[in-house]
This record gives sequence, structure tokens and C-alpha cells, in this order.
Amino acid sequence: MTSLTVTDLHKGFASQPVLRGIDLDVADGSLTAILGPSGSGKTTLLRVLAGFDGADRGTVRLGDLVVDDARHRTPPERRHIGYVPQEGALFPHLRVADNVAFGLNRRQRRSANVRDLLDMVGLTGFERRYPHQLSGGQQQRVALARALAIRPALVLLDEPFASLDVGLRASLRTDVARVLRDAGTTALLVTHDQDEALSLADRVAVVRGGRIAQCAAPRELYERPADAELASFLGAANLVDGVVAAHAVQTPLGELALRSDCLGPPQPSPGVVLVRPEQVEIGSAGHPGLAGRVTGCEYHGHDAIVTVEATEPAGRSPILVRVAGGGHWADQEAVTLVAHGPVVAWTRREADGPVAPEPGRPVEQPAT
Amino acid sequence: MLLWNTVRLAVTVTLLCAVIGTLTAWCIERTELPARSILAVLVVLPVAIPDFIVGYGWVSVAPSVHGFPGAVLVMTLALYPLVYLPVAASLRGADPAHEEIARSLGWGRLRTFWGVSLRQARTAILGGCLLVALALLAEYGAFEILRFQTFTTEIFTEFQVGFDAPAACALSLVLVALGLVVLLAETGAGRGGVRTSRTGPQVARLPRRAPLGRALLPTLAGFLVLCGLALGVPIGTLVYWMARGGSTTLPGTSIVSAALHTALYSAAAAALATVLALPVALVAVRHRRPTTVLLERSTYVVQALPGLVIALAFVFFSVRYLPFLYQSPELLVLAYAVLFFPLALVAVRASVARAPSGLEEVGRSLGRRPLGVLWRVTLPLVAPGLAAAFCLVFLSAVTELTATLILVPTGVHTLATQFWAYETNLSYGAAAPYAAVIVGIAAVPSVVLGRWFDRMPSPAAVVVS
Amino acid sequence: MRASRSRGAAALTGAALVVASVAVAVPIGAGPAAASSSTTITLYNGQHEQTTDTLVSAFERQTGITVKVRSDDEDVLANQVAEEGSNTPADVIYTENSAPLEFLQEKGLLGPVARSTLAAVPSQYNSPRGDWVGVSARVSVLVYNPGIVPASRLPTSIMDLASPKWRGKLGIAPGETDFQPLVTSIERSRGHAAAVRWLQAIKANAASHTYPDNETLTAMVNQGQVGLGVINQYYWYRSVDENGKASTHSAIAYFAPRDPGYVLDVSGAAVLRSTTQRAAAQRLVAFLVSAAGEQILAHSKSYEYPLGSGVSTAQALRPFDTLQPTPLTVSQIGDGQGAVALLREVQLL
Repeated sequence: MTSLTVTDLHKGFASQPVLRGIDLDVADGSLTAILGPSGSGKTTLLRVLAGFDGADRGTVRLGDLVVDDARHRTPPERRHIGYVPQEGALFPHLRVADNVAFGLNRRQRRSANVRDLLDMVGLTGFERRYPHQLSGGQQQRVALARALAIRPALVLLDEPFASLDVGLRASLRTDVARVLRDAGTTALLVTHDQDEALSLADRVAVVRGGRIAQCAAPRELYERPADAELASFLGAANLVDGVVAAHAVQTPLGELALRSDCLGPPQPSPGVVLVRPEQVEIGSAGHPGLAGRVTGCEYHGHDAIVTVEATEPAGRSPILVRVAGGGHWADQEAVTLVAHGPVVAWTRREADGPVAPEPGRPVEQPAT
Repeated sequence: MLLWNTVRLAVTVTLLCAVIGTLTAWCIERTELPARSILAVLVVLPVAIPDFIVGYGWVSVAPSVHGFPGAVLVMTLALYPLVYLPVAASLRGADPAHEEIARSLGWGRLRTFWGVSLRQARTAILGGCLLVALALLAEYGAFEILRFQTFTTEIFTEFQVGFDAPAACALSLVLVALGLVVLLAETGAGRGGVRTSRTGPQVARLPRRAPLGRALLPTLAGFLVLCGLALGVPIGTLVYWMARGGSTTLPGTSIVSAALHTALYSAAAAALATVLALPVALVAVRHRRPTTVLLERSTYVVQALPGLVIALAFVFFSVRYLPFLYQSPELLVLAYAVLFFPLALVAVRASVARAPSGLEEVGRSLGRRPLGVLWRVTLPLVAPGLAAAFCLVFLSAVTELTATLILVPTGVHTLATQFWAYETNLSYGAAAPYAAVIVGIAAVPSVVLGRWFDRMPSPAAVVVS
Repeated sequence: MRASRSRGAAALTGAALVVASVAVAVPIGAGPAAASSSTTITLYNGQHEQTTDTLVSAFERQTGITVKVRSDDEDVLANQVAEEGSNTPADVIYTENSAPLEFLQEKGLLGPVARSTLAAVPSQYNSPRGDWVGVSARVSVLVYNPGIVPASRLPTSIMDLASPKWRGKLGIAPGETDFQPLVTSIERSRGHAAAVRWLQAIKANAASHTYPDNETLTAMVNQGQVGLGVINQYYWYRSVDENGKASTHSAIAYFAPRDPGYVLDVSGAAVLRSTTQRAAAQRLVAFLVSAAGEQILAHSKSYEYPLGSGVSTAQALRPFDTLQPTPLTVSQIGDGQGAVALLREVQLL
């Protein structure tokens, strides 16, 4: 069953269009991440869904109920949508327990509800504190408990972890995902952090230019993005020139198999291939493969990204290689590169056009 | 001549108030000045002293204080707190990080003050200047004592000596026009003003205070001179007359009854003005459109009109259409509320602007209707602003004289009317206790106000910390 | 802390709102309790309050009629009555000068005063049309500071004040209603051009010593800020009362008989045409000029001359019948607008 259906949603401010036709289905009980760069309209989408702003065109359905069809708009208080804003936005004049119980009537408040909710977000015994006596992470937990208290059909989370430090962010987002799943609540999480979207969500919808560019499960999105630009947006990517055939691509890194769910053109034609850095293997000079020279190394501890410039032909964009455990490759060291499929590729609209990330035509076979 | 007098006085006093108000606010908020908390109260107190008492104090201490220089001196001392209060609040709320960044980029302390601190406080300075300029346009009592002619004193002359109400009203139109010019100037200067709110989510740090070093003694001396002139002279005069004793021939009226009436009328007016200001502020801040901005700004024009003109308008209106209300306490309270509505609006508006609208949206999403959200979220958040508005209107009403004399219920004495009765009969000794009680009653809200502006948590601190 | 403070503020504001709205809803103590059984009338009082209050209490004791008194400057009250028109709550108006009464009479807002009341006062002190009655009078004099101007060098005519020798020594209060009869008097005796010249001269002589009212002028002469000025005699007597003999450094002197500066100002009372309590209102006005009322004035510290019922002042003033003021009638003084126009012409207003 679908919990939320958005159809052709448009919204602009002062004749400046922000959303230009959003289509989105969110399944009951799922956690969907809305991923997009700053200014892509994610927060606007959330505000329209919550009912703070009205749609200019299109419809928003909650279950079978139309809550906004650009003419009639159900006010926020009648939508039953929980909302967790960027910085928690706890009511500063209310204690934690009163914040959580804000949306409950007197009878609901008397039941042990509030304590249960606080237990659930790991804040047992914090009832009588004021918001300013809490850390940032604790405030976010209270905000989540407050949103869940009204047993909402849908919870909207607007970059809820953006203001937290890295360690806290990681632990809190796992907790939040667990709480949401335990509560069985459908949730929509807005974020600009790819890691966050890919690691937390059941599905990720990427917003670009006011539309949903792609909506898919995290693995599918990462491995089979709809176009080259999405590929780069979702993580480190090598967009390599190649000749695309029916089942394989010819690249400077060798011949790579196309993913089984992709079908190339019948006649080999020039295109762009997505090779993730972890698909490239680096070896000492002399091994078979593309000869090159190390020009940089980005050390991450658990792994490293090594930048290699091909010797021949010069001027080609450098290739990124992910190396487990950190690279022991010296600067300017001569190396060879080999890649492993399967990969995704797009044919070029024009053979002599610019190299990626000009959006190419996807060559994927229709899934049906 | 009148126009020239009015304009040059407004410009000179407004500039002086801006300088004094800003400097005192900066010294108290951003330097290691000793006894800051006491000074913070003292510099606000002059607003509690009615202009006619200030003017009288000066004339009796130094009769040479008159004309343009006298008016500049007295009005600057009486009005600079109107700049001090908002500027101090804004300096307290502004992010000290900006000043630190400027210093780290090699800007000196003076350049930082000029280029960063002042810019942050710009909106507050302009807001304060607006109040000062409008108050100057409407001022009468002090100028009469100081023998300085402005449009307002001319209105009184037309009215009192010439029995010429139409001419007085025509002159009032000039005042309205001047008020509009001031408003436009403020709007124009305010446009492009920088937003001073914090951009990052971090909790506000308390600003590091600048050590005064060798400047300490001159600064302290400056504060002493300021307080001495602004407080010492009028209060000293009152004490002198009280010590002289009231060898008055006037019958004694209960000072307690006068004080009670004064407090009751003023409190009712303050509550009414505050309640009326809330929706206007909410609409002006939350639904900012040309029409709502116009609505909000237009209410400030009232501030440029002398109490006499507004009181007469109330007489004209109520005698014809609401005769049962005429000279009733309710009408006086309503007149006060209209007279001082702009003051209430300034305070409430600042508070509403600081209350994050996001909190109201969260309230809505949790199933509360707009009215419920107003009651349970907005009101508690803007409560300090409501209290401030209440105090501002209260202390203005306590010290009001001209409208009170015209609209007060027949037979009722307030502190101001009683002071006037004695003062016009040269019974300064008998008048002094009434003036003292006026100052005493008005001082309470002034101190509350000072503390509110002083301690007002910055917006981000409310949300995050 | 912060939150609790804001909650405290909310409670405070809330409480204040409740108190205030209750206060508004319930009519706030409407002054002295008005006994509903007895008659109540309203007096607009522009006279000095001490005088009026004593008179009113005596009247209330004598008649059982309750009088609500509203005090303000006489000119403000006159304007207020003009604004209120026939809806005015006032039944009686009592002013310091005849001009405001003449102004209201021209507007047709005054009703006739009972003939018997008018008869208690010599007719030259009443409205020629019988719309108001003179109650008391005072006379214009020079107030001077002997330390600056010795008595021997004082001018004997108000016209002499135009001499340049008084430059820097003369103080004036041209905005004071008492100033207008002087101007009217000079214009009538010396002509328009001479009056303008005289005004221009004293304006130059006074320069910055231009004061808002006679009280201030009197105080300034006493303090030695200026040497002399023209006031009504009672201001000086009251300032002696207020400051005590020891602190009095000024004295008064009379002009030569019938000098245009030697002007008698009449304070009067009238019944409003629109009153619904005509009988009670007439009783109050009658009381003011009765022997009982005038005796109160005669003994009061207002230092005015009683005009009615043949009563003489009990204070140590120059006896009324020895005064030799300029022959200027109340109708010549009128509502003062001629004098105001002159003052405007020389920009003293």
C-alpha cells in the first residue's frame, strides 16, 4: 500500500519555480530519503507535504486522501504528519515531557505514552529538563519523540542530523532509523549527505532541478544511476570514454562487461562508461593494463583514493582508484590500471561532444 | 522659522541620541566597564522622568538653559535611552564571531567597531532614532518651559491663545507630513541593512569584553556626567523642592488616590495597547506584504502628533457618536492606548521577529489549530516582548499630561493633573511629591525594561541551546 | 533558567492583562462618590484651584448640591466646550479672564445669568449681554527686582517699557492670556501703529527673556534673571506665600492712574445654554457672587478683589476703591482676538 503519492507537483516563490513536476510514491512503512544538493528544492517539497506551503499545481495524496490539489489544501494540523525540522525546534518554554506531549490531548497525555516515547529514543528520565539543558543530539531525539507521539501516518525529517558532529551523527542516525522501523512509521528524510541517504533509507529519491531525477533502492541507485551526472553525485566516479557494444564496452582500462540489466546498442558506438574507483585495480609498472603515473593520494584510514594520470594519451582526465587499507603508492610512481565489470554505460549524443558529465542517453534495457 | 526650528532640532537631537545611545550601549555590552549592571539601570532611568519635570528642573537650576541649545541639551538627555535600549539588545544578540573575524583579518578595534559592530546594530539604531525623531515632533511641555518654538508649541498657541482649533489641526497636518518624512527616511536607510542573526547552528558564545585600559577613567567620568545631567538635575530639583516643604495654599488631595488612579488607568491602557499591538505585529512580521508594511508603518505617525491633538479628536468623536463614553475612564484608557500604540508595537514586533516561525509550524504539524498554536507557542515565546510593551506604554501613560487633562473623568485627579495644578500655581513644594511619585512609579517599569532588553536571549540561543 | 524566565514573564503579562481588563470593564472609580439622591452639576474650572475648591465645598454644604469639578487651563476648557457644543457635560464654567467667556458667548453656548445674580455685581464687570457675571478682579502691575532696578527709576507708564534703556532688563510673557488686555488697552488709547511699535520695542528689549506665563516671569524677576515685567498683582502675592518673605527679592509697583498698562482683569462665571440642571447651575453662579461666596474669596490666598455683594478683600492689598485703572470695558477687551492678531503681526505668538 502506498502511504504518500505526489503527482506533478509544482511550487514556486515570486515566479521563481522551485519544484517543477515532482512525482513520488512512498510505500507504507518505508524510509525514503530525499537526496539533493543545497537549493534543489528538498525543503520546499517537505514544506508542501507538511502543509506549511500550498502547491501551485499537482496533487499530494496521503493514502486515499487528497490533501493538496493546488485548490484545496488541508491545514497542517489535520494531516497527521509528524515533522522534525532541521534543528529540532523544541519549544524553549516547555519541558521535555511537555514538548513530547504537545500534540496529545489530556487523556492521551495521562497514559504512560510520553515515558514510553522517551524510552524509545533513549532519553529515559529526561522528562523535567528544558531544551537548553540538552545536547544537540538529545534535542533531536526529543523532536523525533514529539513527532512520533501523535502516531503520524508519515514523519518528515528535514536534515535532522546536519547540525551534529560526525560521531554523534552516525550513532544518532542508526538510532533514528531503528526507532522509525520499530514504530513502523513511514518516513521521509531530507538530506544532502549521500552516505546518510544510502546507508539509512529503503529508497532514495534524488532531486535535481525541481524534479525527481531517479528514485530507487540505494544499491541500485549507486550501481546503476540513470545518467552520468547522477553517477558523480552519488559518489566518487570515473566517467571513461569507450565504445559501447551490445554486452560489453571497450575502454582504455580494458574490455568491460555491461551489467546484465543493461543492453548496449546493436552497432558499437562511442559512449561514456561509469567505473567506480573500487572497480579499478592498481598494479606496479609492467603489468598489463593502462600505463600511468600516480599524481595524488587521498588517505582515509580504512582506505585511500589514489589519483592516476594515464601516460598515453595525455590530457585525459585522471582516474580514481580506491585502495583498501591505505595506499603505499609514491607520488609520480609509474603504475598500470585494470578495471573490472560489470559496468553501466551511456552512448554519446554526439561523438565529439564533451566528455562526461554531459547527460547521455541511458542504454538500459526496459526492465519489463 | 517654525519648520527650520523643528527640523534642525529633530536632526540634531536624533544624531546626538544615536551617538550617546550607541556609545553607552557598546560600553555596557562590550567592554569591561566596572559596575555595569548598576550603570545599565541608571542609563535607562531618564525615560521615567516626564519631560515637563526635566525641563522645569533645568530651568530652575540654570535659567540660561533655553532656546535651541537648551532644547537640544534637555531633549537629548531625556530621549537617548530610546536608542540605548534597542541597541544594547541588538549588541547582546549579535554574533561576536563577526567581530572576532574582523579582528583576525587585521582590522583594528575602532575599525571593527565602526565596520562590524555598528553595522550589526544598524537596524536597532535606526529604530531608536525613529522613536526619538517622532517624540521630538510631538514634544510640548519641555519646549514651553525652555521657550523654544516648534510646530507643536505653535499648535498649542493657536489653540490656547487664538481659540483657533482649525488652524491647530492644519498645523498638525504638517506634523503628520514630517512624521511621514521621518518614516520614509528610516525605511530608506533601513533597506539594505544587514541581517544580524546568527547563520550557523552553533550556540552563541558570550562576547569577549574589551578591556578599557587607560580609557577607563574617562569612560567612567563620561557615564557619571551623563547620569548626573540626565538624572541628577531633575531629581535634585525635586529633592530640593521637597526639602523646602510645601507652604502651599492649595487643598490637599490624597496622593494615594491620585497614584492609584494613575496606576490603574496606565495599566489598563498598557494592557490594551499590548493586546492590540500583537495582531498587528504578527501580521507585519509573518505576512510581510506591501499592504501590511504600510499598515504597520502608518501607526507610527500617531507618535508624531501631540497628545492635545489626539485628545481633541477623541473629544470630537466621542461627544458626537459615543456620548456615554465621554470623559469616562474607558475613553481615557483608549486614548492612552492609541497615543502609545507605536511604542507597544515596537516592542512586540521585535519579539515576534525573534520568535522563530518554525516553532509555530511544528505546533501546527502536531495537530494544533492556529489559535491553539498562538496561545501555546507564540504567546509564551513573545511574552518578554509583551511585558516590555506593557512597561513602555505604562510609563508613558503615567507621565502623560495634556491628553489626561482633557479626557480624565471630571473630578478625578491623577498624579500628573495634580502636579500640574500645583505647578501652575507656583506651589513647587507641594507639586514635588507628586512628581516624585510619578518618577517612582515610572521607574519600576523602566528598570524591568532595562533588564528585559539587557537579558533578552538571542534568537539562536532560544532555539538551539 | 531562560525558559522559566520567559514563563514568568508570560505569567506576569497575563496577570497584568487580566487586572487591566477587569479594571476597564468595571468603570474605574469615577471620582468623588456622587450621591444619587442629590442633584449633581459639573463645573469646568479655569480659575486657580485653591479658590474654586473652597468655594465649591462651601456651596455643597449650603445647598446639598454636589459639584463635580474639572480643572484645566481656561483656554483649553473654552476650546473643549466649543468642541463639545451642546453635548457638553458642563453646567457652569468659571474662568480667570473675561475673554474665554466672551468667546463662548459669541459661539452661542452660554445661557443668560439670572438677573438677581447680575445685580449683585456692578454692571461694568458683567457681560453687557448678561451671559456671564464678574466674580473677582485683579490689576496689572510692575514686578521688579530692586537689586537691578531701584524703585526710583521705575517707569510710570507701560509705554516707557519701549525705551531702549530696558534692553536686557525687561521680561515678558506674551503667550499669557493676561497679556492680551494690555495690548488691547494700548491699541485703544494710542492707536494701532503705536501699539505695533510698542510691541516691537518690548520684543527687542526682552529678547530671550520671553517666558511662557506670568508665574515664570514672576519667578525670574525674583531670581534676578530679569529686572522687571508686567504681571497681575496676585501672582506676586502668591509667590511671596510660596517662597516666604526671606526668599522674596522682588516688589511690585503700580502704574500712574489711568495708564494703559493699569488694567483691571475680570474673572467670571457663566451657565451653559445646554445645561439640564439650570436651577442648580444658577444657584452655583449666584453663590459665587453672594456675600458668602465673596467672603471666601476675600479671605482666600488668591489675592483677588471680590466684585459682588459689596464685599472687600481681607488681604493686605491696595484697597479696591483706591485703584485707578484705565477705563477699559469688558466688551472692549472682548475675546482677545484683536490683541492676538496684533501679537501675531509682530511675531510674538
